[in-house]
Amino acid sequence: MKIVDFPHRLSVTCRAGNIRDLMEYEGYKFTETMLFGLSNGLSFAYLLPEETKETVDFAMISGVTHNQFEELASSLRMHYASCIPTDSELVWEHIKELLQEGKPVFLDVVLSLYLKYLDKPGLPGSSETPHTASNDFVSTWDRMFSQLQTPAGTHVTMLIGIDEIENQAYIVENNLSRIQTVPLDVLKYACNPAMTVTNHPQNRYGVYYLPTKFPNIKEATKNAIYANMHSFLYTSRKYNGINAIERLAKQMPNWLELMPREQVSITMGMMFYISEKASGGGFYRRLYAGFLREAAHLLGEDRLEEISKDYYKLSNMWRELNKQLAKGADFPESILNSTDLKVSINNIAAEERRIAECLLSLAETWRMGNESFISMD
Amino acid sequence: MILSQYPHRLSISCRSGSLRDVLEYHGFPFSEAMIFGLASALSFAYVRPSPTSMNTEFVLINGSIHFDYHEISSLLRLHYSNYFPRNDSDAWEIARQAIKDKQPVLLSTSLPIYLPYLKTSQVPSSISTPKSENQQRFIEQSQQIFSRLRTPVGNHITQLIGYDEDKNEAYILENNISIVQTIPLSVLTESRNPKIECIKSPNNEMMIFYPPQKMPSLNFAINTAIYRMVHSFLYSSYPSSGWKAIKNLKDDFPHWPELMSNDKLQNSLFMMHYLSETTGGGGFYRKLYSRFLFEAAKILGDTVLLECSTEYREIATMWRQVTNLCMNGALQPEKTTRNPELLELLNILVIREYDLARKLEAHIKLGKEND
Repeated sequence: MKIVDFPHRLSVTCRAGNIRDLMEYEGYKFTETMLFGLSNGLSFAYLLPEETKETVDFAMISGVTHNQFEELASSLRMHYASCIPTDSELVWEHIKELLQEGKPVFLDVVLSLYLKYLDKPGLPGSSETPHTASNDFVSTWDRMFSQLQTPAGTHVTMLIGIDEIENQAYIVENNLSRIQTVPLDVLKYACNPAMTVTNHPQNRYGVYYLPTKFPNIKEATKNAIYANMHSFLYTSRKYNGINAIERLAKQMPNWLELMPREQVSITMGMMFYISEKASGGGFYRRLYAGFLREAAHLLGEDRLEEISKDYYKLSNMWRELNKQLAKGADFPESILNSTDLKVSINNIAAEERRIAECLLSLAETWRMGNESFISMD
Repeated sequence: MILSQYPHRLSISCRSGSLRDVLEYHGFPFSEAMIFGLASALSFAYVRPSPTSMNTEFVLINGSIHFDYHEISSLLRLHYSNYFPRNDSDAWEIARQAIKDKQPVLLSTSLPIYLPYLKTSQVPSSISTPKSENQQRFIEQSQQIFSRLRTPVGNHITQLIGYDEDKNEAYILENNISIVQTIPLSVLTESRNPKIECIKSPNNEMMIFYPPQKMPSLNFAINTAIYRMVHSFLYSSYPSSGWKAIKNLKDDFPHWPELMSNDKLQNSLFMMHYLSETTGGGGFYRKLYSRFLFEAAKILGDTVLLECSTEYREIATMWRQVTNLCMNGALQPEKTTRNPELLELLNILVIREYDLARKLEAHIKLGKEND
C-alpha cells in the first residue's frame, strides 16, 4: 500500500519540510519557512555532555526548540496525535491502518542506520520533484556520522507506504528529491534500535489531523512571533534561548577545561554540520529570516522586513563562526584562544539579544494588552 | 527528601490541578479553572464502540481530549520537558534528580495499582488544605468503579514531591486528597510502568515544567485560549472528538445494546457517571469551564463571557442529569438506553452545545474571517 501522487519538494529541515509536504497533500499550500515560523521553532539549545541525560559525544548545540510538531498544531488548530508505544508489533499494525486511511506517518528514526540505502537510482515508485537533489547529502552525512560513537536519533522521516511482501518502505526524505525505497525491516530497526542512541526514537510516530477550517493566518503569524520571542528572551532555563547563547559565548573559549579534547573537536565539527547542513545556514536564522519576510508581506508590516534582514546578517555571522570552528577542529587550542573567536561569539550573542528584543517589542504592539501577569487566586 | 512548603489544594482534574500546584510552587498562582480554560481543554470525546477496537471494557466518553499540557505550555510559554525513559531505572533516576533539583515531577500512573495505599490522615509530613470533604468518597467511588474492570486504566497524573529510598517511600500528591500521601516507592514504580495489561499504559511518562521568568499577557492568553477551544470543538477533523462526537453519541445511544455486550454496556453507563461527576467536576468539565469563563469575564470586564458562563453551568447540569440517569439505570441497560427523558436531554444538549460554541466563536474573533 502506498499513497500515490504524494507532493514532495526538497526542504531545509526534516520537520517543517515534511509538514509542508503533508499540508500540500491535504490541499493546503504553505511554504517551509512559514511553517517553521508558525511552529515557534527558532531558539537555541546548548548543553555540555555532562549536563544532558543523553549519551552523547559532543556538546549538544542546536538552533531550534524540541516541540515544533505540537507548537504548530496549536498555532493552526491541528490535532497532532503522537505515540510512544509499548508493543513494537502493535505499532506497525496501527501504522498500516493509518496508511490505509491515506494518512502519511511521521517517524522518529536513526538516519545513520538506513543512510546507505538512500539515493539509489532507478528505484521503483520514485517520483522527481521540481528541484534538484543536493548530491552530496548522503556522503556529507555519512562523513559526519562516522565521527560519532553514539548514533543520533533526532531525525524525522515521513512514511507514505509499505509493501510487506517485498519488504519495502516508501519514505520521504527532506534532502532528497525522489521518494525513497528502503528495506522495511531496516526502517523498523531504525525506529527502535537495540542500542544506545542520543535521543532514542523509541518507535515514536505521529499523525496530523487538519481542521476542516483553518484559523486566521494573520493572527496565527502575529501570535507565533510573539510567543517565539517571548520564550527566547524570558526562558528560565540556562540551556535554552538567549541564556544558552550567552552561556555559550562565555564558555566556548574555555571548552578545553570543560570537556575532553576529543569531545571539543567533535563539537566544533558538529556545530558546522548542524548549522550548515541540517538547518539551512546559521542555526535556522536564515530560515527564520525567510519567515519574517513572508510575514512582512502578509501583514503589510515594513519593520518585519528590516528585522528579517537582521536575522539574515545574523545567520551569516553564525556561518562564519562555524566555518572557523570546523576548520580548526583538529587543533582546538589555537582557535578557541583566539581573540577573533571571542569577538565573533560575543558579537553574535549581543546581536541575538538586540534583534529578539526589537522583534518582541514590535509584536507587543499588536497585542490587545501587554500588561504584566495578574495573580489569579 | 521532600519539597518543603509545597502548595497543594484539592482540585477537580488531576491534570489541571497538578499544574496549578506546580505553577503556584514557582510563584504563579492561578486557579484550577483558569488553568483548565487556558489549556483549551474543553471538548468532547466519544469513541464509538467497535468489536475490533482496543481492549477497553467500556465506551470511552469524556469532556476533554486536549489536556496533554502542550496547549497551555504553548500559550503561557512554559518550557515543558516530557520524558519517556526506556526502563524503570532510568525513569526513577530522572525523577530523583528532578526532586534533588527542587523540581516537582508529574508522573503518569495507573491509579488502581496504588489506590489501596492512599489514606486521608495521619501520614508523616502531611500538609492539609482548607477543604477536606469528599476525599474518602473519592477513594470509595474509584475503588467501586475499578473493581468492575478487568484491565486497569493508566492515564492518571500524580505529583511526586519527595522520596526516601531507605524507607522505600514516595511522597505524592493526589488531586482529590488534601494531604501528602506516602506510598511504597516500589508500588509507585509498578504503577508507572505496569507489567500487566493496562488501558493507555503510562509507559513511565513524566513531565517537568519550567515557567518563564515573566508570563505573557493574561488578557491575550484568555482570548486566545477561548478561540482555540471553540475552533477545535467545531472544526477538528480528529475522529470522535468535539461537537460531532456529541452528535454521534446522541445518534448511537439508543442502539448501544446492539453494538456491545451487556457487560460493556453496564460498564459504559457507570463510567459515564464516573468520568462526568467524579473526575470531570460535574457535567463533563462544563462546570469547570463555566468557572473559567466567569473569572475571564471579571478580568476582561466582558458581559458576554458572563452570559456564556451561565449557559455552560446550565449545560453542565443537563449532563449531570444524563449521567445520573445512566448510573441509576446501569443495571437495566436496555431500558435506560431507550429512556425518553434521557434521549430528549441528549437532543437538547446537541443543540445547546453547538449554539453556545458558535456564540463564543462570534464573540471572540481574532482578526477577520477571510485573512
